[in-house]
Amino acid sequence: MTSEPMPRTAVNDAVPTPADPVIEVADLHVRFATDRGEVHAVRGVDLVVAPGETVGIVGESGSGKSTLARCIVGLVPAQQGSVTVDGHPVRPLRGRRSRQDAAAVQMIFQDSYTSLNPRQRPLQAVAEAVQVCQQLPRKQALVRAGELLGSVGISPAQSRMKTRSLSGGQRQRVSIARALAAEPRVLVADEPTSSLDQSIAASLLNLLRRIQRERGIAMVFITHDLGVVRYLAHRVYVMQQGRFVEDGPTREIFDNPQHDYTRTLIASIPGADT
Amino acid sequence: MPDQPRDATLLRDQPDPGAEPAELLAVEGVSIALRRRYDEVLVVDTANFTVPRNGALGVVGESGSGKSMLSRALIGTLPRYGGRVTRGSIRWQGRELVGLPEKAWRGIRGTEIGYVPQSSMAGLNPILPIGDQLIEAVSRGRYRATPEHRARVLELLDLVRIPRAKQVVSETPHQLSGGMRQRVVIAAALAQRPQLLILDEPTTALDVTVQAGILKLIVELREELGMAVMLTSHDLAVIETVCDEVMTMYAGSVIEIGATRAVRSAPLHPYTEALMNSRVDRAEPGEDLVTIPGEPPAAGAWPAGCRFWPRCPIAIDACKEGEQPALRSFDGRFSACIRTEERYP
Repeated sequence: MTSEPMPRTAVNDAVPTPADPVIEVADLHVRFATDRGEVHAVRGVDLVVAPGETVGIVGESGSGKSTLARCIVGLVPAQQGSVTVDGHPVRPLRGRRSRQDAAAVQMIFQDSYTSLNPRQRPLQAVAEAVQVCQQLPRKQALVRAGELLGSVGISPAQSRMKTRSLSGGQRQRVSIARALAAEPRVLVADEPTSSLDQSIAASLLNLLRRIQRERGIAMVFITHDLGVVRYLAHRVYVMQQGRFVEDGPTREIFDNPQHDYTRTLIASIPGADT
Repeated sequence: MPDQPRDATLLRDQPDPGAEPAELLAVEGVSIALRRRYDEVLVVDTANFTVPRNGALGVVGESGSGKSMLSRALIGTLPRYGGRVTRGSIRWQGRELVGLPEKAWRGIRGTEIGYVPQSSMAGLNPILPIGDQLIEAVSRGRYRATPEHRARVLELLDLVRIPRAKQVVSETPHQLSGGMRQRVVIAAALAQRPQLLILDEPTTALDVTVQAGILKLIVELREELGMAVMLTSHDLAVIETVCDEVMTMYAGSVIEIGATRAVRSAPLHPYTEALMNSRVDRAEPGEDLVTIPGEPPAAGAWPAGCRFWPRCPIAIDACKEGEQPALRSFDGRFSACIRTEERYP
C-alpha cells in the first residue's frame, strides 16, 4: 500500500525480531523499598525495539508497565540487567550521561497537567528543550519551537497562552512537541490518551502515527487499552506481575493468544462478545 | 416517625387517580444551570427522555456534555454542586421531583433511586469498616444494628458476588481492590431495593478485566432484581454491554436516543456517527482514525443553532441559526439533526 520500505505503515505485516534494535532491554529487574517491604516491580524483562517500530506494552494496574517505561527513560534505576539505546547504556538521569544519550529517549506522560508547568507558555516550554538539546541560541530556539508546535497542531495564538488554559488534548500536543525538540530516536508514551475524550484521543493517536511515519522514530506505547494497542502497535508485549507473559506481532497475539492471561484480557474488552 | 416505613402516598403531592404510569422516570424539558461567580451558566438544555420499568438507558457524552449533572438532578444533589433545575419536570413514578424539598428527597434518593458515583473511594468512608458503612445504608443512618441489619449486609455482599463476606465486613476500603470497592458501593446503593440504579461512569477507573466483571454484575443484577438502570459513560462499548437504549449528549443537549443496536449500526445524528467512527476498537490498523475537528464548546460558549455545527461535516446554513433543534421521532428513534429526514428517507 505504500512504496517506502520503512517505516511500516501497516501493522500486520509480520515483523521479524529486529536485528539492529534501537532499544535493547535485557534481564531487567526493578525493586522499590516501601513501608511494607520491598516491591519487585519488574522481574526479569527482555525487550527489543527496532527503529521506526511501535511496540505496545499492555498490562493492568500494578503490572509494572509504567515502572518499565520510566526505567527505559532513565527516571528509575534498575537493580539488575541493562537498558541500552543505540548501544549506549541508559543510566539514571543523575549519573554521568551525555546530553545526546539523554535526549535520545523522550517520554510523554499520562497527565499533562503535572508534566507541564501550568504557568509556562507552550512556546517557552518547547524552546527551553530546544535550547538545551540542540544547543541553539534563544532566538533560533523560539523559531524552532514555533515550528514544532505548528507541526503538532498548536496554533501560534495557542502557543502564547499559559499551558493551564489549554485543553487536555492541546496540552498533550505540547508535551509531544517538547519531546520532539530533543530529536529523539525513541518516544516512550505512558497512557498518553487515557484521560482524554474519545474524539480528542483519536486525533492524538493519528498525530503520533504521523510523527512516527515522518520521522521514523521508534515508539514504546504503554497502555491498559487493548483497542489502542491493536490499532497502533506492530508488536505487543503482555505484562503481568512484572513479567512478560507473551509477546509477538499484534495480529498474532489478538487472533491467537497463547497465554491464559492474554486470553482473559482480550475477552474482557467491552463488546468483545458482540 | 422515623421507624415508620415511609408510606409513599403520604409524600406524594398528588396521588395518581389513574393507573401506574408506564414510565418509571419521565424527564421533560429539563434545563440545569450552574452558579458561577456573578451569574449562572446553562449546562443542560431542555432534556427529554424516559426510563421504562426494568429498562436500561445508557448516556454517552464527552466531558462537559452535561451527563453527570443530569444524573445528579435525578437524585437531587445538584445544590451541592451549585446547580439547580431551572425549568422542566422530572416525574418519578408519577411524582414530580423538581422543587422537592430536601426532606422529601430522603425518601427517594438512596431508597427508590440508588446512585453509584464514579470514584468508589468517594462513595465510601476510608476509615470505617465496610460492615458499618453497609449497616448505615441498610438501616438508613441508624448505627444501632439489629441482627436483621447484619444479615441483610451479608446478603448484599453476596448479591454483588463478594467472596468471604464475613471477613470483608471488618475490613476498611483501602484493604480492598478497586473492583471490590466498587462492588461494595453497588451493594450500598442496592440496600433499600431501589427501582432505579444510576451509575455515573462506574468502571472508568478500573482495569479492563475488573471492568468486565462489574459490567456483568450490573447486567445480572438488573435481571435478578427487576430494577431499571441508567448508566453514563464516555465509552460506547461499555454502554453496549449493559444497555438496551442509548442517549447521546452533546454540549448540554440530548441529540439522539435509540435502541443500542440500531444506534450502533446506523446512528442518526452526525455527532453519534462521528463518535462511532472515531472508536479505536473498531478502526482498521494502518488507517487513520476518523476524528472530529475542533473540541466540544464549553458551557456558556455554545454556538447559535445546532451546537454541533462548527464541527459537523454535513452542516448547512440552516444549522447555524436559532435554537438547538429539538429531538424528533423517527420510527421509535429520536434525532435532533435537522437533516435526518433527507439522509434517511
